[in-house]
Amino acid sequence: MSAAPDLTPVLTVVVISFEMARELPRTLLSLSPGYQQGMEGHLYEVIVVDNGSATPPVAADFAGLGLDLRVLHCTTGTRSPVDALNMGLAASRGGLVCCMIDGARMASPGLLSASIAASRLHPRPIVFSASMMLGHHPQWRAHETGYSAAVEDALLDSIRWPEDGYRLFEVSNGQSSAPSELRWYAPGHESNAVTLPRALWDEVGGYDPGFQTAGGGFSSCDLFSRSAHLPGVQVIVLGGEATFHQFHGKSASTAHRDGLDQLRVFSQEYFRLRNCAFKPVRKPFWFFQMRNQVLQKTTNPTKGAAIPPEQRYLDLLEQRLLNSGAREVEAHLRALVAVLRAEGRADLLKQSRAGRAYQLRRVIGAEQQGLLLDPTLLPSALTMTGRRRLQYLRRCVETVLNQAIPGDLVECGIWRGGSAMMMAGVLVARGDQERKVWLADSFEGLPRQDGDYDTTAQVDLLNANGLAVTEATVRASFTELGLMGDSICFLPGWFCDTLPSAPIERIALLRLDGDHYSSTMDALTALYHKVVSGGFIIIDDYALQPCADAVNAFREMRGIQEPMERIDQMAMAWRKHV
Amino acid sequence: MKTFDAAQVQSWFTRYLADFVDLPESAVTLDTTFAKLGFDSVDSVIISGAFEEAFDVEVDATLFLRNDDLRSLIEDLRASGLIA
Repeated sequence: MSAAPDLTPVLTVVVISFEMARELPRTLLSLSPGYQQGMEGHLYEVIVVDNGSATPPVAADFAGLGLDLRVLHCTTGTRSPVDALNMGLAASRGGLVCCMIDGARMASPGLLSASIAASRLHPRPIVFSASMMLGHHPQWRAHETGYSAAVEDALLDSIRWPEDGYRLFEVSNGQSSAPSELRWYAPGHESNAVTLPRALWDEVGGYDPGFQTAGGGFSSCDLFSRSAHLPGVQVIVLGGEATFHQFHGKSASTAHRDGLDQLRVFSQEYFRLRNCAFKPVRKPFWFFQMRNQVLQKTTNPTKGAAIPPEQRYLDLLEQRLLNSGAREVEAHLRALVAVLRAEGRADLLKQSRAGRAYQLRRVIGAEQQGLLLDPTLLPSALTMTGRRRLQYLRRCVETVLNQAIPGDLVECGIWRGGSAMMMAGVLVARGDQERKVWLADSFEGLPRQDGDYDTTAQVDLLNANGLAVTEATVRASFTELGLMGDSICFLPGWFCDTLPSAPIERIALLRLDGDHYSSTMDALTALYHKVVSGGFIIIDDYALQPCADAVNAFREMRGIQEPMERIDQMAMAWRKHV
Repeated sequence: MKTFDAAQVQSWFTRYLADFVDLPESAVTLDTTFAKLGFDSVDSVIISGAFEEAFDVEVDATLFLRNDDLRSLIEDLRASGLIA
């Protein structure tokens, strides 16, 4: 006689909902077997506890998800989800229980299997996962940023959710105002999806019903803190997994229009109940990452996947702009050989063989890194930025589109137009017909007078050897690459004359490549205030002292605190926060 | 208006702030700057909320932001009449 199979779920997920008709379906889809990876061998259940919605969710509506799902109804009538959470805990059957205090939070695809695996590493585990928010900025600032459910829907469409749930990282932010990956993953005050063995839930006594402010106040923080301070427990943080908060008006995150007012109320309640300081958990923690590719996937989500056509197009465009196909380089060399032979100087060709290998390495190395080897030897490519800067620019434009950062793309200092062509190329590849690409340049080369930073000799040499490129030449290159159109706008003239009155309303990306102090300062002064929150500022020539001096002076003058990021040995960038 | 004794307020803040940053109370003196303790604007609001709850009063949201240390904060409260 065989024993009856054990049908006890290994894991119960408790999800609290209140007026989440838009958000709950996505949350439950993200918890379903078709979305969660690595759960094939695990029985698990999901319990939704509705906390008094006018039209509560019905389990039958989610029958297609393949979930072992129950919907319970908490009728205590409080605005706090604590009673509902404790109701879900009492009804749970799993050996492990994961509580999600906010049913508007979608899960990453490995959240459940990683929680189970991590909990096996220690006899008394507290499994913590990061809490992210969809959108570029914290959602409590929606009244400033214009973030809305419609913007969020477009964001999710832009990553084709739910095709690859890890792409949620591309369109989300950490809860800090200055997010970093370290801060996202370090255990702090709370986790929206915290998993404990049933015995530990019993030991900690569940959520404290004393927390009765809207959204539960600091009840989740309190639960995490009390759990983490039980004797002999180990906090284990999940790397590369998270929950992602959808925008809605019923959670603690948005219950108070004024976030600081909300914090003050929560703090008062916490002190009343605990009579001690409200602070994050500061204990050594383990960091658990189940699969090697997960973190990589958060930063390079397309690796290993089929390459979409727009990406193939942009890869080819990048090669063309950098002239890495080398056809033109070879043509230049053949032309040079032809000239020398015609002039009867084949002896020079013979002499050059000895040093050619060395010079070739220098030239290739410099061009790959976007450096100018000699002011009389400009590269034959359409840009001299090099691969790293060009790829950085491409990622910035893609981020602008992915995160729906409003505004046009502006380049000040064009040369042959390669960088602006990359901006235009990304817009074309992604089918964006709303934004303009502005090209500001003298089309006569660098200015000869530059006040205290006058570098006339160098300027004359550069301009005479190809730095001055006419507008007609740039237009022809745009046309040749099929990028010319109404969205490409030229601003010919010196920056101090053209930029202050340029008809540009908002800027999502501002790229400065003016070399000099005055060119850089003029462009920042005229345009920085038009860069929107979340917009990028790229300084191509920061390694040049006059340019760096201008940038530093401007940042100090305007009190700009956003940290600069080094792109390569020449360029820096930062992202505007407010 | 309620008024409190300066020593009582100082004692509460010393205990709370030391707890807040997990340091012994001896590490929090009248002249220890809040910046040195690592407080940011969010912390300031949380501490203000706890103070209001503990003393059953209402204080200006900028109380912490406009004072650099406990000494100036207590003087600020004295000027506003909360400390006798």
